[in-house]
Amino acid sequence: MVETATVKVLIIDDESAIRRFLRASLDPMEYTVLEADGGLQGLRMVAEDKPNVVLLDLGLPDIDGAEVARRIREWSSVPIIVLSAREQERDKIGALDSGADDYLTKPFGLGELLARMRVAVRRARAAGAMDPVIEFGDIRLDAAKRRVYRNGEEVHLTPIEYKLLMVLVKNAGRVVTHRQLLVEVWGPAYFEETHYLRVYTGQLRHKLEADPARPRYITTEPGVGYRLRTD
Amino acid sequence: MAGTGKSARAASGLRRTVATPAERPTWPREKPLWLSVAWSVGPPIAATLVCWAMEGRIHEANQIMVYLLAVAVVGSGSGPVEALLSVVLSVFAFDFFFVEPKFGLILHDLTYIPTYSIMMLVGLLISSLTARLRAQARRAASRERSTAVLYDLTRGLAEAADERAVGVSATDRIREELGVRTRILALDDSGLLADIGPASIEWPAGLPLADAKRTASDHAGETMLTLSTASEEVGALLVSAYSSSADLEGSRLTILETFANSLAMAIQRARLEVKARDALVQVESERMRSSLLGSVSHDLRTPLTSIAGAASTLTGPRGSIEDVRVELASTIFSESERLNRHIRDMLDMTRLETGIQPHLEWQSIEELIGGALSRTESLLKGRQIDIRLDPAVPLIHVDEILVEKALVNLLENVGSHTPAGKGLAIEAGKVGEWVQIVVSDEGTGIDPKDLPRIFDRFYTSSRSSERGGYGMGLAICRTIMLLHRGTIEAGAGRAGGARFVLRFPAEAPPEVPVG
Repeated sequence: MVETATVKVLIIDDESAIRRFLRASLDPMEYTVLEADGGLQGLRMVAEDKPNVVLLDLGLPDIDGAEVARRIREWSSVPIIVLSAREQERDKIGALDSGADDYLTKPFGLGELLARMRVAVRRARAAGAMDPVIEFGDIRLDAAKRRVYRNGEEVHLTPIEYKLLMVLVKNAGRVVTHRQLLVEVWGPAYFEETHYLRVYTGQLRHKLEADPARPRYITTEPGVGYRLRTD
Repeated sequence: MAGTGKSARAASGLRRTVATPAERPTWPREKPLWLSVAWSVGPPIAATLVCWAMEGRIHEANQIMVYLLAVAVVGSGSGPVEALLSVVLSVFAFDFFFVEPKFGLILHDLTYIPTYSIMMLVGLLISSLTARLRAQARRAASRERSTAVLYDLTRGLAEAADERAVGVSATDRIREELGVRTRILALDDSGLLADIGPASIEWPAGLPLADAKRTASDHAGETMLTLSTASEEVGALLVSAYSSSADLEGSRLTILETFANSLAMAIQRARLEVKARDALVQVESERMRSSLLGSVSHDLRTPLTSIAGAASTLTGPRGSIEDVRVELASTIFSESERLNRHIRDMLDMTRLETGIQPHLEWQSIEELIGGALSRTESLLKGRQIDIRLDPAVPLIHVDEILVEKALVNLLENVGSHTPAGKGLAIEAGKVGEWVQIVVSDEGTGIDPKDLPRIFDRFYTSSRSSERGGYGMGLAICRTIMLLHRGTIEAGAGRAGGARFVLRFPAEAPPEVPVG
């Protein structure tokens, strides 16, 4: 998808090398790059410059990255993509559960970053409006009729399988944490029952994927959650 | 009786209070009164009956012999008191039944006085001789018993791995063998007494040895023995006598004193062993560190050299040529990915070694394999991957990130030994009590001489060194499998390739609502 207007990206990261690499990569494209080297400055710039997407590093010197995400969410719905190192597993989930939209593990390639930003910006622009018919790969989902087709043939899903698929479709391209899925499909009391997800995503894959052991659509984000790939 | 009374009382006193398996026949019991009386009275009565039956047919001198025989029987079979009593009884019985006037104790014929005196003397002589023999036999038996008890007491000490084990074993043994409670304290580094076994006696711990001795001398109920070796004092052995009035009798105290020596030596030996073990670990970790440094400098420097070289060429005049630019940039990309893998493995290994707690959740094998495959996609490009999963394979209770890491490491290893165009197979299923994942390839295989060391850290086989292997991946696999109470094995697979088997304990997963 090609964005027509320029997209303002705010990078909140204390590492100047990372900011330089991101600026050098994004500037020549349709992005306008803004930089903040700390959480507090970042928060101020979110308010003043109104960026279209925020890239937020988790290891900031002044305030916790998850805290920055939480404070932004108090008054803004700007998409937030968290940049984290591998050993910050818990912080990453914390940031996602407190409002961040997605994450990237350092080191990452530009391709991955652009894909994440595209999804985030598109979602923000669509703002909840959803097509009644969604198609990805050989799958067609008719939300109005609550029907799912694979290669034109109807696939019979149980109510829970359908509900689970809908949550993933609504967040297409974006990671959905275990907690978010469990709360939306089963209810707030079930936020820790991750084995429900293991069983039901397995069933969904066997119904929708050509090779359930190497899924194309419903992919696993280890320790974090699931992502529906529609590209 | 008077001589053995005290110890017998103490022993029976203890036996009353100890509700332990101390009821062993090793310690002498007090002989009941009826038995003493029977011993003293029985033989003289028997002698009297015999003499009565033979009255008139045998000479008086022979009757005296029969009585002496009775006295000898008592002397050999019982104690000195019983012997004395039987001598007196015999003399009176002889006088009463057989010497004129019969059935009266009045002595008319004074010639019997020497007879009676000699009867008395001979009787006493026999009884004292037999008593001495019996005492010797008893001492020998007691020594033997002490030796046996000491042997039993000491046996557990040699096997104890540290001073705590010494303390626990010794406390148990003393209770079992001697039927007394003890508390064993050892001097710690700051010179204070600390428990190394169960604290079964009320006693202030944490005192210096000298203070403890003073406290013990004020306590009537407890006896304290100092545990010391030839070179130093190592602690104290506290023994409870159960009632404040009764002291431990001599024989058990002697055993305890002897045992205290062995105990002191055992504690010292255990401490030295721990020190030696620590020193060995120190040496081992020094060796690890230098090995790590060697590996780090090689594994980090090689990709860094390529990256720095490529980047410097890019900034130079040749960097503007399009083909060169793309070539160098892709070198930088792939080399930094390699660098990232090395750093990841080192961090993983360090974290695993410092003992992380696995975050256990119910996971699907299919999903774990899928995740690992997607992470190794670029590395496995061109290999035929055959996946066969038993649909009935249950969920396993594992740490998702760690197990995926183990699978990724295994696939990276397998992939790097399997040339493009060859195949690899992944199978999973439940086998007995295990959930098993088998990864096999058609690659170069594992040299049998490498097999025992293939899971060691920094061990790179002759076959993998060509590709700059860093010998960490499989070690991480094994550490992760051990963390999950699982196993990993390597062996030969199809077509000369390698075959790895991962096993996780199979447990019953929780219910999942249907819907």
